[in-house]
Amino acid sequence: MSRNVAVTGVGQSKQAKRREVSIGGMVREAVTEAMADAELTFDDIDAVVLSKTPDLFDGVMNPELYLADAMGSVGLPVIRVFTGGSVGGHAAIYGAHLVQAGLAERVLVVAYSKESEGNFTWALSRGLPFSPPLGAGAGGHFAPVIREYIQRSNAPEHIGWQVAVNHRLNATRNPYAHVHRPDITVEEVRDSRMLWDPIRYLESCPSSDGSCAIVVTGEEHAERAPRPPAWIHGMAWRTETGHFAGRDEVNPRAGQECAADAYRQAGIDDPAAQVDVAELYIPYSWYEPIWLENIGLAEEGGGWKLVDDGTTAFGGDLPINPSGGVLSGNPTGATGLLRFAEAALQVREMAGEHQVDGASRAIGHAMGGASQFHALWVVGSGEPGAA
Amino acid sequence: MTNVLPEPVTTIPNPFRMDYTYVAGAGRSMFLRGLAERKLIARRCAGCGQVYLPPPEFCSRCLTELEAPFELDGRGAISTFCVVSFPFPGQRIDPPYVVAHIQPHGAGTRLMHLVREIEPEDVHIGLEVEPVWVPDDELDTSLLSISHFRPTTEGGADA
Repeated sequence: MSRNVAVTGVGQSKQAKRREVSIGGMVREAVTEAMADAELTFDDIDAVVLSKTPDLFDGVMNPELYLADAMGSVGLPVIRVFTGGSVGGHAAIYGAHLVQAGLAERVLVVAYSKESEGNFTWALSRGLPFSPPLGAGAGGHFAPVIREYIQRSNAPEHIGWQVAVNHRLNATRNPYAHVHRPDITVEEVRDSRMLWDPIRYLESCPSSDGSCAIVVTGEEHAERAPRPPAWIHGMAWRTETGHFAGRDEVNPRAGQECAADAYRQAGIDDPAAQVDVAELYIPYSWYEPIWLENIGLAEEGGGWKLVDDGTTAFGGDLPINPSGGVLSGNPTGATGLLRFAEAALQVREMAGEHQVDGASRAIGHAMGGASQFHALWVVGSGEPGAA
Repeated sequence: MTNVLPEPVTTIPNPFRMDYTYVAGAGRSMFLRGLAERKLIARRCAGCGQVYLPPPEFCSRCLTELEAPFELDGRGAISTFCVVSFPFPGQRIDPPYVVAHIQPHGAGTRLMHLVREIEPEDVHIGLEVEPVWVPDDELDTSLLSISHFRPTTEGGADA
């Protein structure tokens, strides 16, 4: 990297069904918290990046205009980043690119979704001539991919149940998480309702309202920040089309290459050994082993074994989603940024009760569409290149 | 004062509708027109040898123009599937029903479609299936021209 870039402020709202607050008010909660963390005012900000899933999801068109006051962006350049569920990760990297390129000194990255105000299923169910109306929803898309993973890896079926329990127990240590189930058991997950066989109800993410914001700055400002910065050691995004001949959606090539690029920048050659904690985009429990393998934290076919032996549980050698992850809160437009922000909190040692002891290097990861959009960053407590 | 204030208004329904004009492009338009004639039109990439169904104009891997169109019969194998097991508003078929990724023989892509005429518990990865086309008066430039897929029969697909 030509110039070191860091996260110096992180804010987030409570994830829940938030009928008592407007979209603007909910966005402002995260913005205020991030600005207070960085101890900056809006006069210090050079540009604002907004992360948001398609407008139809909660019915507000051009939210980057509607939210100008809530984001403090009046008179500033504003960029709307727009993919699928990965959008928050892309927005974080976009903001960092602005600083790295010298186009801005301090960038505010904002993300939200208010799914309780829209009709997500309707918005996703556009009648296109290539999609017979199967009415299967998002889970109907990912369930067959999960079945294919299970078939290839010969994983036992309790792996999905165990991931669901791990993440929900993690969420009990995160006051911002939507779902709090301190008494959840593997048996309860196993006996929960089958939705899209092989996905059960308790193996699925909720639909949430929520927001997240971060402040990204160059090294001149980060070195003087009031609290420890999270230095960006590597960041990358990759996209593949959803439909090409020979595509492998269980282990998408775009995800592999995205991670490899970020690791190369960070000087990482053995990610499982050199990374302390990861926040991954896991909307259905089986996506934990799927992404562990895709981004090189486990060998192909071996991701489920890291679940089975407790490596990825809180207190294990490589905790995954100590925040509770997507399974415990999914405001889609903010979900990717939450993963990137939670990784930053870990290396700043500001993750509260879900802090992983001694975390000095962390991965934030986001995925969107039909596993088409991939974004990943590696953040660390030390400044890259520093002795 | 005896007046009691009404409950505060916290939400109002605000329905809206969206109309889409979908432009399929030259390559996929050919495929859609084929569906209205019970034909599955595929094209091969000269660069990587992969076959696309439906075919765009260009290979997504090589970015080269695909070769001349040819027909596939739609018989293929189930790559993977799920069983939709719960009811929801607007559902057209009573659950449980099978939604599968089907790899037609000769194609490098998969079609997502219903698998019927078999019990869901008997469906498995690798099962050979064939398309069942709708009656002539329901044929359209849409994948709905295929009603569903079913286990391959001896005589071949309905013609």
